[in-house]
Amino acid sequence: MSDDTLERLYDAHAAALFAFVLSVCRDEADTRDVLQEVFIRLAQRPDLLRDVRDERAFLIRLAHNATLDSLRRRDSRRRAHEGFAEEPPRLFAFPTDPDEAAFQQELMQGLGELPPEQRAVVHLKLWGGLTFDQISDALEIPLNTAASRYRYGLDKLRARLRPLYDEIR
Amino acid sequence: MNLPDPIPSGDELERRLERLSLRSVPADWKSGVLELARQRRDRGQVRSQAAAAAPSWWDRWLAHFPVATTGFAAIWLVSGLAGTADRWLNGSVASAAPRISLEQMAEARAQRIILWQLAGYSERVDDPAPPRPEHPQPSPVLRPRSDRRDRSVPRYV
Repeated sequence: MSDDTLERLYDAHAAALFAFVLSVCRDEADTRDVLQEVFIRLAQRPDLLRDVRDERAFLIRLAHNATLDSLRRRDSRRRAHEGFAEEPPRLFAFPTDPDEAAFQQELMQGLGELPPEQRAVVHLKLWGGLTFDQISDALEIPLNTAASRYRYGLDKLRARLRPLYDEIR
Repeated sequence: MNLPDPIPSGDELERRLERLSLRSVPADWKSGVLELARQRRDRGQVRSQAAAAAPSWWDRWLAHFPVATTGFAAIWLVSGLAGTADRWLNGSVASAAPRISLEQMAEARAQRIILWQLAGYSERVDDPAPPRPEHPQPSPVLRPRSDRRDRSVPRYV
């Protein structure tokens, strides 16, 4: 793959991939590793994108698979260093409003409590701008599974955010 | 009377969440990520070109000893053909040979004995039974106690 193509892909998709991977794996260093792995694969195997219709969905699939591998590795690392305190990463732009900051913090906690597979669907639907059809294609899951994961995830977030939401509404 | 739902509806919460703007990728990542990707790509290309250009070990060996390799291949081929031919011939001879039944063999042996007797010789024993190996008798001490008791104690009938 040429340097120009690689750069074009980065400019077009890196932000979305970054947010998605950070949302699922919740660790900035791991996110960088995953992003790096995706672009190394693209550079080494330009044929991967040859017959791809939806570039974004395909890249999300690559990133998702790499993220799952990273999560597995991290789980084994975490077992070795149990008790290590974890701070949720900052996924959203820094808010100026303190209420908004509190809402975001609560949201990040709520997202952290979701299983990674629900978190992935919720992220792609809410902030990735993907339809359920695209999500099912990107994550290689049935359409109904994508929809139900989204519904369950959103219900949990709603329950978590309800007190705060009522307060700042 | 309808009270407003204290729980935000799915649409309302969704809209609220969708409005949140995501953080952008750290600016200094781009150069690092792309540079490492290029390096890996170039290294992989060099390695694959080197692997494609390098002759395999048997190519190198054949190039150094062409006569020996050809001779070895010829010997291998001839021995393989000879083995196959041998198996084929033996198989056909064995299948062509008439099978003799046990009755026929016994009849032939009886005829041979009669011929010997007519010629004035006594009956010949072809296959004397091999002598039985002599096993050492177990010493009385090693016999089972019941056996020893049977022999030592007289029986009263």
